[in-house]
Amino acid sequence: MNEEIQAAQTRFDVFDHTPLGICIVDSSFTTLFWNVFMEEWTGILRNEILGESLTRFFPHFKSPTYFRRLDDIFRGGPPTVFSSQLHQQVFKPINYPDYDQIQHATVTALPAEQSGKWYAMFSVKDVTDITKRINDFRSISCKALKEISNRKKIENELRESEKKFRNLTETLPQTIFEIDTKGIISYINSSGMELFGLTQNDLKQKVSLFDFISKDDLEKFSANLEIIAKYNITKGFEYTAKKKNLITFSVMIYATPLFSDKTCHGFRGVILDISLLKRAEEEALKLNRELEARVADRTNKLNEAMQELKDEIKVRKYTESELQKAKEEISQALTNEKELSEMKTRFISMISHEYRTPLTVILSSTYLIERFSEEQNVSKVSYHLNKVRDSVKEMTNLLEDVLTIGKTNNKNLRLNLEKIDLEKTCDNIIENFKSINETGHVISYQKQGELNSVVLDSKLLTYILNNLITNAIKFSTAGSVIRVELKEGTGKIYLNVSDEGIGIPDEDQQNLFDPFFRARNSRETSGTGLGLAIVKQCVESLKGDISFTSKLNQGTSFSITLPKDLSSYL
Amino acid sequence: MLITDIQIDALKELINIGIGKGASVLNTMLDSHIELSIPEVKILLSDILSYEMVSLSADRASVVSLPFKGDFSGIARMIFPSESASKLVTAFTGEDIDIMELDTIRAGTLTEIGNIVLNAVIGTISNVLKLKLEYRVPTFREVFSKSLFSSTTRMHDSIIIYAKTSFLIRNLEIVGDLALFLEVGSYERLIKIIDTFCIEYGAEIE
Repeated sequence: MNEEIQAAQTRFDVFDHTPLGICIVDSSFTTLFWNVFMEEWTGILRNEILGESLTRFFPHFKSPTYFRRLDDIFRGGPPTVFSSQLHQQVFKPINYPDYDQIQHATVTALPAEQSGKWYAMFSVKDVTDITKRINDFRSISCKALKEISNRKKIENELRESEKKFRNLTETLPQTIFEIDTKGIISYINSSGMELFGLTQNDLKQKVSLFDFISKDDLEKFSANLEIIAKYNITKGFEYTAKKKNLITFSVMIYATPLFSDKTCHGFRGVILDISLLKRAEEEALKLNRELEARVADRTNKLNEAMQELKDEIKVRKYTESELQKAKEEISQALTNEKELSEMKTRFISMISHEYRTPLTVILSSTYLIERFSEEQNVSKVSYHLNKVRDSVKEMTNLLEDVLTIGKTNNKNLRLNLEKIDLEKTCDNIIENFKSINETGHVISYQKQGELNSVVLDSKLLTYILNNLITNAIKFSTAGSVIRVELKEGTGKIYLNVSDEGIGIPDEDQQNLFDPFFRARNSRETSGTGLGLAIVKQCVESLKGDISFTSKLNQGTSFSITLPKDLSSYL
Repeated sequence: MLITDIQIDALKELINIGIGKGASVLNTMLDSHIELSIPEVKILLSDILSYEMVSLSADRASVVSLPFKGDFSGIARMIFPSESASKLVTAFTGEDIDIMELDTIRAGTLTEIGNIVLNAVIGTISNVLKLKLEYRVPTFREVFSKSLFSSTTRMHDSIIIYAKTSFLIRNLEIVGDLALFLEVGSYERLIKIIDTFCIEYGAEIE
């Protein structure tokens, strides 16, 4: 070890007591001093390095990066800094390759023993710990920054959102409010301020929403808020509110409770000015009432008109029915007229035929009586006188028939009701026929039931029975059987007369009961055509029915039903 | 004492040489090219004309100081608005971080950058003018811009040789201030030295 090095040990001994790594070299990079920290960090012992060239251990000092910057130092130039970031290890821990110490070195010029010469002193600071801490801090910072930026983003979004909602609430035509449980308004939008006539100053002075509810509704408002808080619901109620200038108006207040820790600390909600709505409602009601009145009025008028119309229709219907009736009457009259005309024709034809025969008989008889009187032939005179008498009787009967039909046709027939023994009456009539039976007809007579107490007109019954039996005898061959049956039913009497005669042609059956009508196969037999017409009218007068069945050349059967007690029908 | 155009030119030349040296050193340390330039040199009367300084535009300034004494005394300072200083460090280290603060480590880096530039400029001046100067260890401080000229800086009544400094690195231009805060007497001495130098070596400088 040369003198210079030894002198340096003495001179720089103090640097063994500093917390820095100190290395001193001369301009040829010969190491003059190497303190304990340098030994510690690099693992190079003082004995090994002193007097040796620093570049032997640390060849990078030969590179221009270091060489050029240290050049001035050996001329007493300004200090040079080798910062940790740009030069991580100025003195690499050669013996400890895993030791990643971080160093910050400052090189300063120190005057050498020999005047005019300068040494370079490396002061090396171990910044490993602080670098690590800073790096840790940086990563935390980075995370924090990221977090902050995220939060800022979220905050911004929140702020934007809040701004948006605030703008929204501010632009809403409805009132949005927030109050505490005492009603003190903590927020109200501009629509609300306008509605109640509030100013920002009022809000600063902590006005209560209760001050804007009319006295009458205060209790209701308070009670409703309690309910809303108790059941945690959003509900709206109608109140009368008053503006700051005391003008009252109708509002609908919807409120929802605000909770923190299960305690209601206030309410938030919407206030709707419903005064216009109310007015509209009233107007609508009024209109409705007017409309209803008008409708009722119109309905009445309509009903009246309807009634008038109905009355008119009734009148018309009446008129129409009257007209119809008149028409029918006219039609009936016309029919009657026609029938009458036909009847007249038939009457004239009948009269000309039926009256002529007896008149001729009478005329011829009178001649014969005259002659036989002159001859004084009494028997002959008597015979012809009888003939005259018979002819007159025949004509009288005929006339009687015509009168009867006239009477019954005009409904002028007067009934002569009496209680009779029908069985006896019929027995007499049958006996009568049997006694004068000139044609040898067999009359079969049967009766059945209780027939001794019947109420009717016996004259009409006699006429009916006589006529039917006479017809049966007249239109059937001599010796044939004529059946007469009399039967009693519940409240009824059944009478049947049948023969085995010529019968009635089918085409004539429908006109059989017409007055003066004669079936075409009966014209050779004398007759007026009034008998059956009278029979039918007699049956109808007795409130009974008549019907018949007939077959040509086989016979005819007439059936009559009569009530047993006619008095009960009148 | 008024400075002549020739004196200003001489100063500008000296500082430019120093800056060139500094840029050369920085370039050897970096992968990418760096351009250092000083578009103008001015003599400012401390706080009166200090508004010219770039660093005053920001709230906080990062200051690397190199105090010296000897033939003339003062402090050479490289000052950046803190944000620019941080950008400069990031540009140098190529750090992929968005921290815009200068922690101890990053302050150390800025100190080295400042140290290289200041050493080059002061070293050139003292070498060329054959001045004897003693230096202190360079320091780093972050201060409020407005206190740059406060009494605490002990430089409120100094004369400033001011050069706006522009770093162009990785297409990023970072502008700061390079300033020699000189004691009044020192300034006069410096001008005289420059004068003498101009007379002796005028032809060389031109």
